[in-house]
Amino acid sequence: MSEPEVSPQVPKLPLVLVLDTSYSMSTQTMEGKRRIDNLIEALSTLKQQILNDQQASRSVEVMIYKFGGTVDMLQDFSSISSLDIEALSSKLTPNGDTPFFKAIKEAISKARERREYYKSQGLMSYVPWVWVLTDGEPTDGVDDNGNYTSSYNDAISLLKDLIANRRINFFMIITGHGNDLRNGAEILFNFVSKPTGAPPPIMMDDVSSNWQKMAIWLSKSISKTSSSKPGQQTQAPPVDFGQPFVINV
Amino acid sequence: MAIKIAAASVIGLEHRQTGILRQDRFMTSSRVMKYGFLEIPFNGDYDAYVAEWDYGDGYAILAVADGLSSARLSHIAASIAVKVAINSVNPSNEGTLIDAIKAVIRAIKNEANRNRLSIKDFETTLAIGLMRNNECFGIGIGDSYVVAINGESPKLISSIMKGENPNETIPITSSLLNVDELSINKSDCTALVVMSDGIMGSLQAKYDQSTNSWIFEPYQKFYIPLMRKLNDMNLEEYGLWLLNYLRRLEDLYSFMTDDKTLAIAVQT
Repeated sequence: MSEPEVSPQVPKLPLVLVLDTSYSMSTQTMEGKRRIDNLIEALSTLKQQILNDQQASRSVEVMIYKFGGTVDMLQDFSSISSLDIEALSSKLTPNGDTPFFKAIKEAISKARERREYYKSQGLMSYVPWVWVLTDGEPTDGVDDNGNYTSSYNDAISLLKDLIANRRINFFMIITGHGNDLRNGAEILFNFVSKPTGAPPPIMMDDVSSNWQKMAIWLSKSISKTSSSKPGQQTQAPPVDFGQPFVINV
Repeated sequence: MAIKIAAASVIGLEHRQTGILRQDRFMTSSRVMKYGFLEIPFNGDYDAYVAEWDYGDGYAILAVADGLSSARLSHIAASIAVKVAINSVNPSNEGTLIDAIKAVIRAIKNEANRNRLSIKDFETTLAIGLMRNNECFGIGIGDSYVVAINGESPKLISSIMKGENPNETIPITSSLLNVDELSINKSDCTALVVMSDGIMGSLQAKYDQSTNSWIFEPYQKFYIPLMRKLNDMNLEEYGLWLLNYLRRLEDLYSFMTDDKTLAIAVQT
């Protein structure tokens, strides 16, 4: 259905993708593909799925951060149709360590600023979505003396505040295999979920089909949100690409 | 001076799904009635809509009322409100907009008393707009509202009253309302629009921290094409286009599930 000439404003939905590009993302999966290639394919699926939903594609504004060695913004908030997967894939090169908390802090700050911008412009908007995807343990949580870093403290403090005030929808997805996956998830749970109230990380076994399911789940959830009234709570579809981390007692 | 008027109202998904009647109502008036009145009444599925249009020669009065979902007979209250409002406004005296509000309150109270029902069953919002030559006047109770368009500049000329929660509003029969404190807003204009709040996204809301309140402004991309279309199109075609447009909004923007009503007058 085409956009009518007489257009009411469509509520904006800021989506921030925070993507791990640390060296470990070059790991080959059992299917013979690198994790980073699965990620790029998932981004392509996400774009196509959102474009298939006219209302969601009008609503979503996507921003992309990568963290691997350094933290860099690869794309500022822009429409999903302007997401250039080919250009992005050349920038998603596995390299360096995992400055997870620095990336989180920058991403959630930008998400909050974007919502404030919408407010200042009188535009309707939904609570921002921040989608963090990683395959390993953060390397910037504690310093050489074992003390929490300022990156950690700042990220956790801001995230806690945003979650408590329902100003953010925050998701962490961790990918990998077996014990490595579970250990990584436990670290994120203890260092992020526990102190902030964020949902536990979702553990995604590293096979191509899960990456695709993840992209489809995210696009479906985005579609559902963008078809609701701003402020209205919506039920996300069941997660089919992994399992939320739970502590076994 | 000729004035084109068009108005349409459609039931929203929320009411269709719950079997509630459309609670929005509108009425328009002008000095010369060339087309009179066209109304398409309720059908069995309550998927009801109406459309009416006529020509004016110097003034137009538009009234829109949005019955509150929580009130059992709000659709009746909304019908009373628009009819009494239109009959009570003297177009040569904008001060009668206040008189119209008072007359509507009296009429609704009488209806409630006559039927021995609570006034709470008859809660509705009401917005009235008057276009006279190149001037527009507006008054609104609740969250129905009036927009004046001068050239390419739309301007809100009625207050928007929200309750404690954003989805609540103040009905015309509220004890919190002091009619004597109401003000009539005025603007130069070439077009006038009166609407219920069901068409989300037709206003922008900016928060003013200095006054701790919201400032509402019309969303230009909505109003300017709406006005241009009425200028450019055959009137009957526009009436049907408007009706279909309001019905289609729900398919285009699935968050717009309330009843939707819009009345517009344009100088030609």
